Amino acid sequence: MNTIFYIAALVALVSTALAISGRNAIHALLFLIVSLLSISVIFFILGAPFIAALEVIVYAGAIMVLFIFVIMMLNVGLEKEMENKWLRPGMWILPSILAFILLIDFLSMLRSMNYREIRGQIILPKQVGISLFTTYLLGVEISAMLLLAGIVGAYHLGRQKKKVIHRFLEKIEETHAEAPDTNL
Amino acid sequence: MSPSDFLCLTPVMIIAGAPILMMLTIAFTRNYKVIYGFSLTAFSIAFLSLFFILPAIPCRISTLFIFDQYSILFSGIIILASLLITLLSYDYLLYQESEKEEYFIILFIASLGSLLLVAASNFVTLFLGLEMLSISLYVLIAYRRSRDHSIEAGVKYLILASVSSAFLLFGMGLIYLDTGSLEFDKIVPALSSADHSATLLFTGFGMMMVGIGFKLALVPFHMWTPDVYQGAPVPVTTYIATVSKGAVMALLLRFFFAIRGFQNPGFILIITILAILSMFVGNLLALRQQNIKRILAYSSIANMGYLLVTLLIGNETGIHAAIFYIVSYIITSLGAFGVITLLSDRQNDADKLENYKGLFWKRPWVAIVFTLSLLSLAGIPLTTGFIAKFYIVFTGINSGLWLLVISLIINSVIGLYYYLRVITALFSPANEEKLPPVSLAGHLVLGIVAVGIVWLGVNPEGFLSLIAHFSVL
Amino acid sequence: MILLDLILILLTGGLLAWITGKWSSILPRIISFIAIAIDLLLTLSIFLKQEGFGHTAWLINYRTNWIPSFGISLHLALDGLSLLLLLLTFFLGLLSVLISWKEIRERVGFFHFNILWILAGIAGVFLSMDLFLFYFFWELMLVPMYFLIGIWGHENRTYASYKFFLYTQASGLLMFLSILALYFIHGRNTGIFTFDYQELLGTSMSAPIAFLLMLGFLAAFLVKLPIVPLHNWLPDAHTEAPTAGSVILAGLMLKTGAYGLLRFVIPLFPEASVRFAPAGMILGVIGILYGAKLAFAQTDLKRLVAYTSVSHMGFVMLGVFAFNTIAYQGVVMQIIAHAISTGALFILVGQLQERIHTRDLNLMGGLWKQTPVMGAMGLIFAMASLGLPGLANFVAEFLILTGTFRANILMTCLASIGLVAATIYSLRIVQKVFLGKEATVWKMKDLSIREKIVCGSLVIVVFWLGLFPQPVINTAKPSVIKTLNSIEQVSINQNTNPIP
Repeated sequence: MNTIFYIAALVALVSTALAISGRNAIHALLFLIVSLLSISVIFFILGAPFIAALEVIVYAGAIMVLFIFVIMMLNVGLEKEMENKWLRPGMWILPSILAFILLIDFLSMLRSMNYREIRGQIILPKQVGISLFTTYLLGVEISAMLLLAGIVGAYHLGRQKKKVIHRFLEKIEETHAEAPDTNL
Repeated sequence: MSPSDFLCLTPVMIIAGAPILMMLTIAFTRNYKVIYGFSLTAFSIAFLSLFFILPAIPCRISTLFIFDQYSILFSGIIILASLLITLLSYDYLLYQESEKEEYFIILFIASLGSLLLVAASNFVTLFLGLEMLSISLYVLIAYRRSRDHSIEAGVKYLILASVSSAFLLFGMGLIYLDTGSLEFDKIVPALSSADHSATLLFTGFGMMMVGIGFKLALVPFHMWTPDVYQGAPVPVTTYIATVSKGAVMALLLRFFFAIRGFQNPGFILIITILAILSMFVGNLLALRQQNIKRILAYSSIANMGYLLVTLLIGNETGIHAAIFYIVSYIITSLGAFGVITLLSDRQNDADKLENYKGLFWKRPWVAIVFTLSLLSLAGIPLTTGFIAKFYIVFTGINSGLWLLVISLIINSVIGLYYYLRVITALFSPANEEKLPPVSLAGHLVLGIVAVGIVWLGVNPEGFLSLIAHFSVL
Repeated sequence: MILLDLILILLTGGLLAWITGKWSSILPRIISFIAIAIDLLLTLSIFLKQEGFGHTAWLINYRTNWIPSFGISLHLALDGLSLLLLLLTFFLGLLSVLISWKEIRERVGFFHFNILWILAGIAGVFLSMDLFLFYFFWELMLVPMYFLIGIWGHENRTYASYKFFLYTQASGLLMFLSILALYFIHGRNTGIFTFDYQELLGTSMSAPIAFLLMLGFLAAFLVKLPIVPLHNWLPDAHTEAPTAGSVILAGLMLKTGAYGLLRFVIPLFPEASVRFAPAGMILGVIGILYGAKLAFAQTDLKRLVAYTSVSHMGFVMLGVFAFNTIAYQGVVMQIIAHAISTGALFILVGQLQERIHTRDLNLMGGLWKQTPVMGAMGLIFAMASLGLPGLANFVAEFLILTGTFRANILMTCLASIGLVAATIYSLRIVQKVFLGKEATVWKMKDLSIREKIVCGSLVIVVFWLGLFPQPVINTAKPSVIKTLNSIEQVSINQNTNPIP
């Protein structure tokens, strides 16, 4: 079981490092997805299948895909060109390899699956749900407020500025409008 | 949750409900004055509701929160400080080019985070509160995004805060691994069990101190402080210096006492090193600054270093000293940053030393408050800062913390030098520069602060007994 | 209660002066004059009927709670020593207001606020019998003095004011540490945690600790006094301060150091003081000689006078560590005489500077012809400063030297050389300023009536103290004996007699 953990952890580290150092947003995101997937494998090993699934569904599935869509949509009109540029083999091959390693890792775990080998106790969705809505109910509500701050902030910082009529000023305004809106 | 639990949560619910109502209001009509008035009312009601729930305390809500006298006292401090910052913010934001209503929404959420921190009795609440505070602060720091330093400061805070949160989480994880509980109270009993590992606990606490040290701007996690203080809008800087630091310190105090940290040689070592480093580095770096916000940033680093001494005192007088110091630091900072806020005009923040040349002859009243605040930071008698520092030295000597006390004394002298530089500028001959008018709300804040500084400095007895009554952990 | 009133009158007077300064430049002067005059009269009335107060430890004792959580009380008490120093404080305070009448034209209100608050701080220092309160007043007088130097000072005022503040604050904090340590040692011994002076007297502790704590107190007092390695701030502060500031600095603030030695160091740490005595006397002699030498080398008249203070204060140090009645009477006399004579010299320098806008000795000379009255005053005060018999300083120095002769003959002989040096520099002042050739031709008026009143009153005091010092000696006697008792007890306890 340790080997499987170390492989997954290594994939997580490598892909996260590549996500941070990547110059192209789309490719960085691809690595980030791989990283999230490998973390989900680790969760699975630790006996938290529910969190592992959530990690895939919510992070890798929903949020990251949303990110990619948004970034792609910001460049509307240049699809063909962009597709050619972005989908060169050199770009997708490394994430794919990493994801493949992860897959092998995961499958080998499933094959040798013996639940007694999993560390700790297995926590099922029901237990998670119960504790979320009893002990940690307030925590969930607080998280909602936390997200509210994020949304309001993202709205404020990410909003495009109003056009300023003067043509000299316009240039200056444009440079300011590049404010990052990645507050979520 | 029982009805009495709801009763205990009233102030928190008011603070949480206010931003939602404000959002709804904004959906219908955007009116800066309405939102401002609403914020003032909400903070006031929340403050009054604290008195209302006094009979119901102490109450625990699941394992997440504990509302006791200690958290009520700090809630009061946080709400009052937020109220004063709201008063200061109005004029400052009046000429802001983009929408300004969201500012107050986020200010409320930040205060909510702080309220949760001071009532936290569990790692979960600790983390959620801290994150709520952080996320609100990213936005507030970068709020005037058209300014040069705003975005830089915001991003810097965002990245460093995320890294520190990661450390904090890891540290909490390690402690959980060691003790098997997320609750503060259950940590000490777990330490007597057989599978407890001192190394794990030490590493865990060390990592948590990275996260908390970042929030308190302790050396060596202080890198963000001068830039963020300079780049953020002045009321937000005030907020970071007062509410944010006060709440985190309140949390640290509760946590440290709950885990009996002052009995653990490893923890003592960590805190001692952080305290001494913060005092010296903060004060020495402040000596050569030309920007007032940066001077105050470094001074806050040093002040947090002084405050750490109280953790090691190891009995309840330590808590009393800490509370008194926090309160007096908050009042003093409100004064210093309040003056900067009020003197900032549409385009620029009044953060250069030259802006203050001859202020005493042009605006005597504002300059007096500023001088009082600086003297209080320097710990000169007649001001609350003196009594606060005295209290720390007093309890420190009683507990035999000579190394820390002597560092504190040496640093008071170093610190005096840069405070004097600012004061000298205030009293030097006036220049021609025009100053923006000061509003009624501004005068009100300055008046409250001035009275607070002098009152606590001359007659602290009443407040001391209040603290003694309220600081039962 | 009257003691508290003395301080409150000054504090409120200061605030009033500041507020009225907005509308008028005369009102603040009048208000401060009246406030100080009331205090002076009140103290005088106490002085005149002191017999009526009986012979308890204190003439007047006032005590009420301040911060009971820490064992801090508002304890003010007056004995002969404090009474004399209070009289001195208010007398010089009154003169400071008078001499600033024309000199200070800008920001009059705030100026008088500072003067009154410094006086309040000094009066508080002389009256406090609670160590925390003492420290509170000790620090309280710094800030207004800092403003006085920093705002109304001469060319290099910022530097001088920083130096003054940092030196005194740093040394004050060391004293503060000692106070706290004393508090806890006493508290652990007896279970009573208090800052009260009376209670803390006779706290028993081991000799090394007592010595360490005494050093903390000494640090603060020797910086204020000042004694030679720690005197660095003094010439700058005195030179750059406005005249009133210099007068208060030299006449009153230095005296708080001397007072601290007599009131706190010796009674609180008698054994440690006896051990320190040889070093203390050597420091005193070094101060006398070194100060005199530097005074002689100055070309800036004000700086010269400043260095004479260093020299004169050496006598105080010498006398304090001689531990006998005659020397102590001499110290008290020296405190008063020096305040008057040096204060007067500073006032003269101020008047000169107001007229010719320079303090450079090389530019002066032959001024007697134009200003005979001022010259005569200068001569009298210079003679007082060199210790001419019949004037106040002579009595003081004679008593000190007589007293120290019984304690340490070598030191006394060395200190007497200081008198010769004093003659040299004092005569140099008269020679360079009033006599000799005119280096530059100045057009100047002689003293005005206001200035004559100021100088005249000083002359009267100098002669009075020189010819009839007995009232002062009588008033100081109980305090002197009280201080010496603590030392004698040590000698009895040790069963040996360290004081020859």
